[in-house]
Amino acid sequence: MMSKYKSLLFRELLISRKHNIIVLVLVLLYVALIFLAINMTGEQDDSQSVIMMQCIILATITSVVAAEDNEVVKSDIKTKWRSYSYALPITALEKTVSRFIIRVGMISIGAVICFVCTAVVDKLCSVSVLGSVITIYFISVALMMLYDALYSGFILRARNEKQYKRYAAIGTVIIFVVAKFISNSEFNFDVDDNNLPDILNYIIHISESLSLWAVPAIIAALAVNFVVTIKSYERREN
Amino acid sequence: MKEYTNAIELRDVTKKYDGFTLDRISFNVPKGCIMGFIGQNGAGKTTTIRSLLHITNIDGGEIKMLGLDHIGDEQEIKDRISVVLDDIPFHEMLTAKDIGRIFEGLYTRWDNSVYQQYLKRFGLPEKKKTGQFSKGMKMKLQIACALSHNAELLIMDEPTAGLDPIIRDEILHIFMEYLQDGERSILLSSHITSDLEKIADSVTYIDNGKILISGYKDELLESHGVIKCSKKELSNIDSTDIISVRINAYGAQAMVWDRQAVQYKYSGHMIEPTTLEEIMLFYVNRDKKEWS
Repeated sequence: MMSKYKSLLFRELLISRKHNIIVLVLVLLYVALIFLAINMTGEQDDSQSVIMMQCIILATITSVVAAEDNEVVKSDIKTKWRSYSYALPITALEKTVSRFIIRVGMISIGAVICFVCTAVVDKLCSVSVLGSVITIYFISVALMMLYDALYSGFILRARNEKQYKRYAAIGTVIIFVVAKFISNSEFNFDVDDNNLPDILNYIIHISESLSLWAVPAIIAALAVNFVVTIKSYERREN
Repeated sequence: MKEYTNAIELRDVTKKYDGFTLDRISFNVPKGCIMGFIGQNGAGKTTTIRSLLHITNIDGGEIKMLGLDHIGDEQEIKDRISVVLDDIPFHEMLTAKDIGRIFEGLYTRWDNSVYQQYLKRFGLPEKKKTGQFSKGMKMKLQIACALSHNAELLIMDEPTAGLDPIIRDEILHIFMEYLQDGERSILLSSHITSDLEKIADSVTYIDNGKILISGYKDELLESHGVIKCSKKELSNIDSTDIISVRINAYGAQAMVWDRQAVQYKYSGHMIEPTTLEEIMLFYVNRDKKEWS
């Protein structure tokens, strides 16, 4: 059985290699920019807010790119590998577990890059933003996994590229409507959006209130995503 | 391992779509046999193969492969069969070497030395990305993968489509070599009836979701024949002896289903041997009786 996982992981890593390298390089470039900014601006108060915000942005970006679907599912539908894989001796559980090993691996690598960078920034600039970054990273990953569960739940129903595009469009519309609803709701904050320290304080305040939920949220999101994925692989084509 | 007589058994298999139904189809592929599966586009060949492989669920009936239930024993079956589909399922980033490595972990009886031999025989480069392969090369790669894990049953949907006649001939020869031990079987769906005439032991013909004929190829070719006559002479031939008649400017061609009996009955007429392609054409038009 281990050899099956090795094969599936090998395949997925090969196919997503280009995407993963590009994402990794972009994230590391962003990290380099943060340290360049520290080097250039020193320990001024204003620049401290900017650096802390950069760390929060890093957490958000890294969590999104680490947790997003890595294009393998779409390419599997496009190349008809998905249909073909039903004829191979691989179970839905094996396919799902191998996908999750990759995804958890990517999320872990993203977390390490993000947290190490922030810890170093905290030390260099005498600030304390690591706690917020960890919370924001986990909550963002959880939201991405839930989004992906919805999205994949749709696209894994697709039998061919035409159906995939139709389901992807429907899923995108749903996400857009939900996002619009949230942005119009009471989460709107009464903060001067020209005042960076104000915005930063608000974000840190929100992240502190959500910190207890970060780990349960990510566990729940992973569980939901796992169940949706395995159900999608178990479902046969029309 | 359970002993079995038939590599594939379908009993009253039904699959319903809007506008098309695979209607209670039944046939067997005996062990050690190559069965040609023929039919027009849209006749139900691919639906049948997808049902066999549990790519799609069936609405009724029973399917057994290698003597095992196609759902209950799915993993064991899939480890012992190979599949070649008409769509090439390999991602363009992968090389033949990568694909060999992937399949090595998926099949318990994968033989990499056999795979290498087939790559060499088909002239396929190991380290070139499959995205740069021609369609024919991709199909040969799929066939190489199918033949490299000692599968007891090969299920192939148009495996020689897109290949030139020389390579087709070589591949057909390889399929026949593959069955030499008598323990392996092949279900081969193809439009190229001349290929099936070369290698198939038996033939099943499907039309509009129904099985029209299933039997040994030589028996079908022996039992069917074509009477060529004038339209006037055609009226002397009993319609129950005829499957259908093709009319052209020069006369009529009537396909009969019992050549020997008809030869005695109408001794004045020459009944010519036929081909699988002709059998297919005349059966497709059987409801029309006369066509052109």
